[in-house]
Amino acid sequence: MIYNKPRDYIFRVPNATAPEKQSKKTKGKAKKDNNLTEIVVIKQKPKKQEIAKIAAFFVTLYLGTVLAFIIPLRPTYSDSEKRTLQEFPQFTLEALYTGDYFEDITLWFSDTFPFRESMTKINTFLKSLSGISTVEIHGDVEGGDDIPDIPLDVDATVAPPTTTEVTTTEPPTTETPTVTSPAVVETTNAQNQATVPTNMNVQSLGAILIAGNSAYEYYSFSNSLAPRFINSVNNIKNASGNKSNVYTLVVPTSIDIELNDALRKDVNSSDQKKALQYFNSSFKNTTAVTGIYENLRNHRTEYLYFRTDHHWTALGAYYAYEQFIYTKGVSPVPINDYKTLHFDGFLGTFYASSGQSTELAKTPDTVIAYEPFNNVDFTITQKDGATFKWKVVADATDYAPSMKYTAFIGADQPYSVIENLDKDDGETCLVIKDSFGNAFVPFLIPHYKTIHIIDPRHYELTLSEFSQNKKIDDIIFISNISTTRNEIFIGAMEEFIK
Amino acid sequence: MVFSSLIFIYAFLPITLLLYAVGKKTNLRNYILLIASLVFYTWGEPLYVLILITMTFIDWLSALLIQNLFEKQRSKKAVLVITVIINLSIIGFFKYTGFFLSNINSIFGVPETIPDIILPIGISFYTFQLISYVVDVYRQEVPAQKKFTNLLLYSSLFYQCIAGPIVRYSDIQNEIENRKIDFTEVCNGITRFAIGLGKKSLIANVCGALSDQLLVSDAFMSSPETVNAALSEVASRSAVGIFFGVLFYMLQIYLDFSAYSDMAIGMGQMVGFHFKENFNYPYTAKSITDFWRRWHISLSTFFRDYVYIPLGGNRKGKAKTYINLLIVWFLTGLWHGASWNFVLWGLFFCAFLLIEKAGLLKALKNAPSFVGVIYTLFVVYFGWILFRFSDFRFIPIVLKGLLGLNGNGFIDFETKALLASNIFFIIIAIIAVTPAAKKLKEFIISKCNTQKKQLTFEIASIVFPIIILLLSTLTLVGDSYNPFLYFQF
Repeated sequence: MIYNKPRDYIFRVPNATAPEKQSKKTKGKAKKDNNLTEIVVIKQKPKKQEIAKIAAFFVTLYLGTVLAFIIPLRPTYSDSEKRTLQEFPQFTLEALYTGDYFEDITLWFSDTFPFRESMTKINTFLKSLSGISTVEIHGDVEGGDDIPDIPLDVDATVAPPTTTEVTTTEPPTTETPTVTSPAVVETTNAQNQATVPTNMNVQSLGAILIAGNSAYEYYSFSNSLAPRFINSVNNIKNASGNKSNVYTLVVPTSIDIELNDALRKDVNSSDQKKALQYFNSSFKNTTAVTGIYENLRNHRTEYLYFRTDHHWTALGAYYAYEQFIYTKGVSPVPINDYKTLHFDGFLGTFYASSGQSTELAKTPDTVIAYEPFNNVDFTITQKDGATFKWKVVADATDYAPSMKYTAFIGADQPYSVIENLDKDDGETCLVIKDSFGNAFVPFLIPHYKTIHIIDPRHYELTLSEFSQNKKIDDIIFISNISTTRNEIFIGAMEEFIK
Repeated sequence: MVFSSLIFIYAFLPITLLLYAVGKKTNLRNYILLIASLVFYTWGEPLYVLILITMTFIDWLSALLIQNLFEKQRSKKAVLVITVIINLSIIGFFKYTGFFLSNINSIFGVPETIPDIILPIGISFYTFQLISYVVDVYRQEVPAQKKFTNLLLYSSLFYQCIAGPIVRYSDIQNEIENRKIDFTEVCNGITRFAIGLGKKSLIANVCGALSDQLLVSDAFMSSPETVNAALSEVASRSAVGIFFGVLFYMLQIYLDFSAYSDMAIGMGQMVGFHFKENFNYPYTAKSITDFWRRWHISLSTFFRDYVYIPLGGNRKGKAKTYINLLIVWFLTGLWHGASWNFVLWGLFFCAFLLIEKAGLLKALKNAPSFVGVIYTLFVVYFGWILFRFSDFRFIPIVLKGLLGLNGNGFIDFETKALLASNIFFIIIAIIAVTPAAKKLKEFIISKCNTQKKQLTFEIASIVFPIIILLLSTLTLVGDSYNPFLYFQF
């Protein structure tokens, strides 16, 4: 701490000689103490540098204040965070009385501060100077649970008691868990937390590791969620009326495919190869598509995953497609048969969750899409029931840097259908998927007449309601391995296969 | 509202200061400060502000009664006792009912439901301020305040109302009615405020985040649904990870708390209030006795003047002295929170104070001073482990983890990466708890022997608080950046 020496001169003089001659400048209150001294303070004129200091500080403070009150400068949506920023609260008596009204104003004030996007970037850059960063870790690393060596015992797959019980007793899982706040907020900046809008379908992203210009998501096996995931997959066949072939693809993530082995062996992330073995051996009533991990590992030097986003590239998806189509007993369409589209400047979720890492920003990703050669009719049905035509691979050139992956099948939509117009008849499939499925689906087009696509997080009917009076040859479930520990997705699946 | 929030820095503070500057007379300024303080308090506690006002009213009335109405010492004492009981009952009800009932419940099994009473912000601080006021009036150390609004200003003043320091009425009684804005003081206040803001937002918040990352976060630990996961998470940390996790907490708690006092003192100086220092580099203390003279000074002196000495202090024999110390430290612990770990934390220090009284202090005085400092840091470090975890199940896990007995090795990759990518920050944070910066400034001043050097120094001291303000703003805006938990995708 720095204390400036007081400039006032303090005289301690014996009381007896306390002079009345202390001029007009005397401002001090005479204060008696036991030693009969009197403190007299003589005031001097303020010095120039003091005025300069006071002026400079308050000019800065008040400029900031004026800026903060120019409401049009305040952003309302954050692209990189993919969320609507806190809105100015509606006044209600109840909100006033509970304190929510003021709390929300506080939140609004900081959440929509003018120029926050640039300020955040500068802040992240400055933070990157706080050490020698060969690797950086963002977020809390949760050590994974032990992965069982033997498959899950799922004899009671037809009607697993857990699923129904869980779904009836638990509230809808689409809400984000609320942060329990301590009673005393005197010394926390709690108002900066829990800004995430609720009532929204969201997917959680775990801790990430940044090494060089690439980021990787940690994966932690969860032995409480894995059985629920397995059970919900195992129930697909039954829920769809037992008339389709069910294929299941669980896709590893970049940390176990592309991160160099020397680094990987030290990282506290669950072994995905072992986890995949566990999942694939635990699946029942479905054909587990195996060999995806191996096929991706064999091509690991290629551009299989984004460096700034948690998704795989379309090329990565192609290698999983190969495994699937072999499992189905058909030959894959060679990748070279496709024309490619390039969308540069992609800075995805890793970039966002690193607080817009300067390191990642130096080398943005390129989304490379393989344009379907068939004539198709692609219809998206939104949550409100509205339908519209879209392109299977849209031109993402002008999309925001964070949105380039949404080039594939119009991003996560509740329900959509692709009709292959080049085929007069042929098989029908249903793809149940998380967002990894988006880059995968286009490769299925040559093989099917009709492809139904459902994202269980957004789709409101159940699988049995959907499958009634429909002929579906194949049901393909595809998700990435992080989804096996994603309670929101699993909860949605449990509702879906009810 | 907290001082380190954007709405405080860029709305509340500038508006208050502007109004304050416009109001010329102290009387008017007092009303401006009072209204600002009540707004400040209401912002966090729209209903509980009434408790603050009611308590102040009761104490204002009692002090006047004590001073004017009664001749007899006994009547005065009766009023004092009743007032203190009322004050303690109110804080007891809001702060300790849940704790008390849950203890009764664990012994007798009743009551079945424990009411969830929300603690009014700052009640621990302003209750103590009010008690000290009434007692001081009783002791005839200060005259009773005639104007209710002036006493309310004292108890609710936003500088210190919610997080201390526990200001004595006697320290500011003159300044309430008679204070001036002084340019030098404003300059010092600006620097002090900026230092506090920087300590909080640039260092303490980061230390807190790092500690959470290496140990476990509060929300995760205190929710009954996740507490088991939190326990196994702590048990999976490496020895170095645990060590730094506690160290970051140790840094955070001092920097955070003293930053609040810095900001309070600094803002007080801007308008002519002089609050006493609340911290004096406690992590350089040479004994636990010394530590408590440097840590949260306004609290330890409160307990000294209003509990220990009235109980008889050390004047009634050895046995009584020890009992008095035990009472004081039991209460000091309990004041920090309604949970046994805080009591244990208080008694833990009491034990070391007794050991020091019994002869260790003398031995330390003869030893080189670094021995005392290291011993003190060691004790305080373990104290913070008790302080951190209100759930006792965590404590043995952390202690075992420190010794590497949880089977996770000495250091893991994640801890290494975290330490490497924060190495400069760690050095700065450690320097920030020592008087190094202050010494450096004094050294520079002593070397400013030419006019040119002096000018450079003057400019630096003008620019310094502005840079801190801007950096803190960046960080506070950055903290609102919150994509981490969930993604819409």
